Amino acid sequence: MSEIIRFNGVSKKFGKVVAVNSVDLSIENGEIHSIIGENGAGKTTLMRLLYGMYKPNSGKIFVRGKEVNFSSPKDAIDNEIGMVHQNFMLIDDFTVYENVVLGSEPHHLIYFDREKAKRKVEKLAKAYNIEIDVNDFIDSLSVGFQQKVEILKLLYRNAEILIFDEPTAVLTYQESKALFDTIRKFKAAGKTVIFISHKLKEVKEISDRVSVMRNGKLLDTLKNENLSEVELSKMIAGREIKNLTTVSLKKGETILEIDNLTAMGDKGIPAVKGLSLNVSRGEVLGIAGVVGNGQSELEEAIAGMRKITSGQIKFKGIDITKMSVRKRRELGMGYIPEDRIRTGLAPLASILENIIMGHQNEKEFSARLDFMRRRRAKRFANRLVNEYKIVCKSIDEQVGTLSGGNMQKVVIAREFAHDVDLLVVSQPTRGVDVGGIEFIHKGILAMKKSGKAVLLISSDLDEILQLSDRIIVMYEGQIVHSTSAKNADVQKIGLAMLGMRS
Amino acid sequence: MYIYRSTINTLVLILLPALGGMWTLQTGMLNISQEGSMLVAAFFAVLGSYIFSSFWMGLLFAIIASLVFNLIYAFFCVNLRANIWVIGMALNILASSLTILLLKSIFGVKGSFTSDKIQQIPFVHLGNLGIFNGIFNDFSSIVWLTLIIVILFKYIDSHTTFGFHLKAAGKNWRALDTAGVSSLKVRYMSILINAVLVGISGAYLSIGYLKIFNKDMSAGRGWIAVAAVIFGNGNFTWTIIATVAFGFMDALGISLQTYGLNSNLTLMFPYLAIVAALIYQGVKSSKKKAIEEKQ
Repeated sequence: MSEIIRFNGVSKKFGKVVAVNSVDLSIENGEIHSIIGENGAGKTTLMRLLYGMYKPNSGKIFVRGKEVNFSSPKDAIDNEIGMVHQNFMLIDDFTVYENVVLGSEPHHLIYFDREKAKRKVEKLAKAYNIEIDVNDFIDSLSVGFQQKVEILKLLYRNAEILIFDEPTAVLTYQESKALFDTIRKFKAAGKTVIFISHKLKEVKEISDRVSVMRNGKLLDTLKNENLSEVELSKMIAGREIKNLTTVSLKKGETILEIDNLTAMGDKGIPAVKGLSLNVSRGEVLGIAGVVGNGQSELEEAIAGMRKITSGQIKFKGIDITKMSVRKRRELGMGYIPEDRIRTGLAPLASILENIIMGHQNEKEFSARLDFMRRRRAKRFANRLVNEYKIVCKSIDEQVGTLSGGNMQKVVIAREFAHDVDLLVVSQPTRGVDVGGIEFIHKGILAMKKSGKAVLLISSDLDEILQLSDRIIVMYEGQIVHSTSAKNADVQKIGLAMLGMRS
Repeated sequence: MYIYRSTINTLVLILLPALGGMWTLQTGMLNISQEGSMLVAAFFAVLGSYIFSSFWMGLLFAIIASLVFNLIYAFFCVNLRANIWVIGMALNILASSLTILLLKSIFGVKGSFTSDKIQQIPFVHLGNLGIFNGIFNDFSSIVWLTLIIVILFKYIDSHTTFGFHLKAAGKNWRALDTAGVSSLKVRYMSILINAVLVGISGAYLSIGYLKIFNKDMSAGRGWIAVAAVIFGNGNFTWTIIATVAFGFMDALGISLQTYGLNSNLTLMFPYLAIVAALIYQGVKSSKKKAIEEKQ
C-alpha cells in the first residue's frame, strides 16, 4: 500500500496551550485508520489541521507525497479531502440539497441552477443507497439523517479521503451499525477513511490501524489485529481504567412516583404523553432514547422547571406536582440538568457562588438577615475544588471562563456534595473525557450505594447499560420498552429507541 | 399627484440603504451606521460636484466617502467582532460632527452650503406622455437607476449563488466556511455593495433634487431604512413593503404640512408607523424566540 497522508512533526498551539505536539503520522491509501484518545487529546485539532481549518505552528503535512499548505477548507476540498464534523456543519432551515451543494453549486455564470442541484444530489443518494428527500429541511430530520447529509456533502465533492470526527456519538446502535457498513463500502470503493473516536469497541470493530493520542502527542500507531481493548485503554488514559460493575441492592422505599404525566414541549405539542414510572432507594433507573423524545421535558417536569398538563409527581410520598423548584430542592432533590451552562450554572458568577447556589439559604451558609457565611462557604468550595480536581485559578474565578469539562465538574460537585434523596441527572458525561467519565460514574454508583435514588437520562446507551438497575426506553414521549439491566438486550433497546416495538 | 411624486422622491432615499442593509443583515450584520454614511456621502457629493462642476464627480466622491465609512464599520464589526451598536452609534455621531467641521473648514460656512458651481444630477424627461406626464416624467435619473437596482436585487437575491451564500453566511457561517466559501469575504462584499448604494442615496439627497448641503440633512432617513431592514428581517418582499410604507408616511407627513397641519405632528408620521410595525414584529418574534431558546 502507498502512503497518502503524512504529518511530519506537526504542532499547533492555542495561546499557551499546546493542542498538538510534534505529531508524526502516516496514513495509507485505502485504509480505515482510527485515531483514539480522550477528549482534549488533540484528535480533532489534528484533523482540522489536515482540513485547512487551522494552520500548524510548525511541521509539515504531505498529501500524496506533495507538501501542502492549506489556508482554508477550500484547499483541502480541492485535494479531495472531506470531513464530517462532530457538530454538524449544516444550515437548519436550508433543504438537504441546498446543504449538500453549498459552496460548489451547479451554476451558469451567477445563476444558481437549483433543478440541476436537486437532480445531482438525488442521483448521488441513490448511488449510495441513502433514502432521503432532497427537499426536506434539515431541522425536520433526525440526527442520523443529518449525518447522512454530511456524508453526501463529501461524496458530492468527490472526496477520496474521508475524516469522521466522533461520528457515532449521536447515533443509536442500529444507526452506528449502518454507518459502519457505509464506511466499509467507502473502503471497498478505494477511499481512505480516518475515524476519530474515544470508544474502544468501535475502533476495534472498524479499523485497519489505530493511532493513540494523549495530551497532544501521538503515542503509537498499531495494527488492529494485535490489539487488546485493555491495552488500548491503558494507553489512552495513561493508567488503568477499571470497568465499573454495578451490584444490585435490595430495593428500598419508593422515592419518586410519577403517575400518568403529560407535559407540553416548547412547540405546544405534548412531549411527554401519559408516562408513569417510579424510582426507589438504592436504585438507578436509566432512561434511554434518541435525543428529543421527551426526555428533556420529563427531566424538567420532575425538577419543577416545566408546567405539566396532567398527572401527578410524588416525592417521598409528598405530592410535589405544584411545588416550586426551591421547595423540591429543599425536600432533597438533586438535579444535574442536560444543559449545564445555561440551566446548571450562572456563567458570570464565581465558582464559589455557583457551588453554594441553591443552598444559600441553608443554616450552614446563611447567617442572620440572609448574610452569607463567607468563610464557611469558601472552605466548602475549596474542598470541592480539590476533591473534584476542578482546574481553576481560585474559587473567585468566573465559571464561564472554565473549560467545558471543568464547568461540568462544578455542577456535579455541587449536586453530589449536598445531601439529597433523589438525583435527577441528564447526559452527565456528554463532552467529558474518559477519566472524567469514570469519576462521574463512580459518583453515581456511590450515591446509589448510600441508599439514594438516581434517575439517569442519557443518550449514551453504554452508559445506561453500565450504571442502571432498570432500563426504560422513551420514544415520542412514551415508554416503549422496559427491562431489568440483567436481561437487557442491546438489539431490542436499539430498535425501541427507533420506535420499532419488538 | 403631489403625494405620489414626493413619495417616489423620498422612497429612493430610503430604498437604496434598505436594500443594501437587507443584504448585510442576511449575512448576520445589522448595519446601523446608514444615517451617518448617508450624511457623509451627501457632503462629499456636494464637495465633488462643486470642485469639478460635475455631478459624476459628486457621485464618485459620495461613493468613495461611503466606502471608507463602511470599511471602518466592517473592520471593527467583522474583523474585530466589536459590538455593532457601539460602532454604529459612534460612526453616526462622527458623521454629524465631521460634516459640520468640514463645512466650516472647507467652505467657511455654518450649517448650510450651496453654490452655482454645484452641478445637479440630471432629470429624465421622456417627452410628452399626455396623462402619464405626472406619473413618469421628470424624475431624477437616480429614480430610474433605483428601479433597475431593485429588479437586479430581486434576481440576485433569489436566483444566484451569491444570494445563496449571503443567507448561508448569516445562518451558519461555520457551515459556509467549511464548505470552502469564506464567510468573511461574503460579509465584506455585502457591506461594500451597501456602501455603494448608500453613497448614491447620499448624493441624491444633496445634489439630486436640490443643490445644497445642510447639517444633519439626512434627517432620520438612514434610520428609517434601518427600521425597514429590521422589519423585513432579510426578506426581500417584506423589506420593500416596509420601505414603501415608511416612505409613504414620510412623504405624507411633509405634504400634510401644506394643508396646515402642525409640522411637529406630521413629522412624527413615519416614526409612528415604524414603532407600530416594530412592536407588531417584536411581539411576534419574541414569542418565537422564547420557544427557540428553551430548546
